[in-house]
Amino acid sequence: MEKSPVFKAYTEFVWLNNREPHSIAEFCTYANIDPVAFKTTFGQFKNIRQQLLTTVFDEVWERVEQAAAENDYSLREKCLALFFTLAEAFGAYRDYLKTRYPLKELGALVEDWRPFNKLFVAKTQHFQQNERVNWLRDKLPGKLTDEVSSLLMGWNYVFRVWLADESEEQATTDAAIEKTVHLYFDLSENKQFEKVLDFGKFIATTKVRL
Amino acid sequence: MENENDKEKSYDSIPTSKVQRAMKVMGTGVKIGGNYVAHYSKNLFREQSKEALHEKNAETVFEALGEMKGSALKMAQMLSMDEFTLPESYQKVFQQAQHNAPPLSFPLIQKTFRSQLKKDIPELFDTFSREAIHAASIGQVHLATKNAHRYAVKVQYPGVADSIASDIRLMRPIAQKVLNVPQNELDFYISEVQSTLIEETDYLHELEMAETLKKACLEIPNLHIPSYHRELSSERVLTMDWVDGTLLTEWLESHPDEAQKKQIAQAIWDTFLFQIQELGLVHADPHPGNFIVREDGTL
Repeated sequence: MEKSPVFKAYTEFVWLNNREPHSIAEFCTYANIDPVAFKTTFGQFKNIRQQLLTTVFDEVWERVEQAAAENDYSLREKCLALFFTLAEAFGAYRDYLKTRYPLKELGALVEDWRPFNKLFVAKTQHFQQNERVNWLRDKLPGKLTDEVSSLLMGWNYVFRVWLADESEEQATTDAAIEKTVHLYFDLSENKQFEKVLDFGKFIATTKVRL
Repeated sequence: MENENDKEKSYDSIPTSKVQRAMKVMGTGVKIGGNYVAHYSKNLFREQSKEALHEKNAETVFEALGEMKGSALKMAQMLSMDEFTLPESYQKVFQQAQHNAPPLSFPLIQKTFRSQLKKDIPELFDTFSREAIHAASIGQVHLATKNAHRYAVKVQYPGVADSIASDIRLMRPIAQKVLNVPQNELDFYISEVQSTLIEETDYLHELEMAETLKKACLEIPNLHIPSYHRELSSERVLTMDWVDGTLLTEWLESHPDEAQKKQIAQAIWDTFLFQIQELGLVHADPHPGNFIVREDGTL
């Protein structure tokens, strides 16, 4: 079963009705698709929501990799391109995303984003070049580091700005992306930041609270 | 002295929200206060000229304006043009605003082309400089080529249009207290900056005005106005022919001979006299950063 018409029908349904379909039957009738094929491919609506996000990420990542090779991007530029392209790609689903993820409820809907977050963290791990940050990450429990990174937190902030952004062509989001990504890389390269981390490491080793 | 990396870093981050921009203005006030304290402390032991203090303050203010870009930087640019309003050291530092500013990332430039012109850069140009060649208060200029023809492509900073009104309000106390600009001068500048900026954020409007001006000024001797390219322009991207030459202020510093200076002065005089007397339209942004003297001695 082709996924993209299902994404289109589902996002359209949620946006127009401001709710989930009550049942698979209701959605399949609306989208004019075979319920058996739907159950085999997606099973439940949560999978549509999750796969929509990961599909967008996969497509964006492919474009960014291609652009990085063509333009000989630095890591910083590749990261900027990722954020800009993600915001652009999500633009196709903006009405749905604004309906489904109102800012105040975004935190409660983290389940939808879990596979996206994992993918994001895995693909962008090499952006972090600071040895001490990577050392710290290696010490943290696997589950936490698989789903959380400082860059992902940066993306979450940008996504919230994007959801609230009513400026023309989401120019505020553009500025937020530049600011967030530059801060991330500037901090990674900052010697003072390394010293703070080193001090934190020392405190942890001495087991004496600050 | 600030190193290049620090400078680049400070320019890379544009404070966008009203609160952030207000914090920047407050922080600038605190720094200037510090400069005064340092000045009077030093004076207890030795003489330090008022001009040196002005210069230090001017650098502090310019640093903050550079980070805010947009209307704040534009105000610095316009103030620097009036030699009677500001101390000389402020004028000197603020003149940087006329042809020197902060870069936007290349991915954002690419994204702007996609959203504004619905095409990627390689579909429009054979080559395109990744780094900005020049920067102005609300945009930066890249050099591009197509079929061996060179173009200057100006790309606007994101969010400029949205921050105009709040910037103007934020800049008012700085301009009044720190720069000691008289109230009547301030009102004039503020209304001028605001109306100019609103117009300047629409590059298609600029294109139309430039085309009108070019067509009308064809007969003026020693004046060359570059051609603009509508098919390569939009509200936030403006493309015109690239012009080789030297910025007017730099050209004057190169000590050209009297005849050359008279030729350029005459061209400027003829142009503005024609605009005022014949055309009924005046180039509203005549700061030296907008004038280039070409190798053949024409403007």
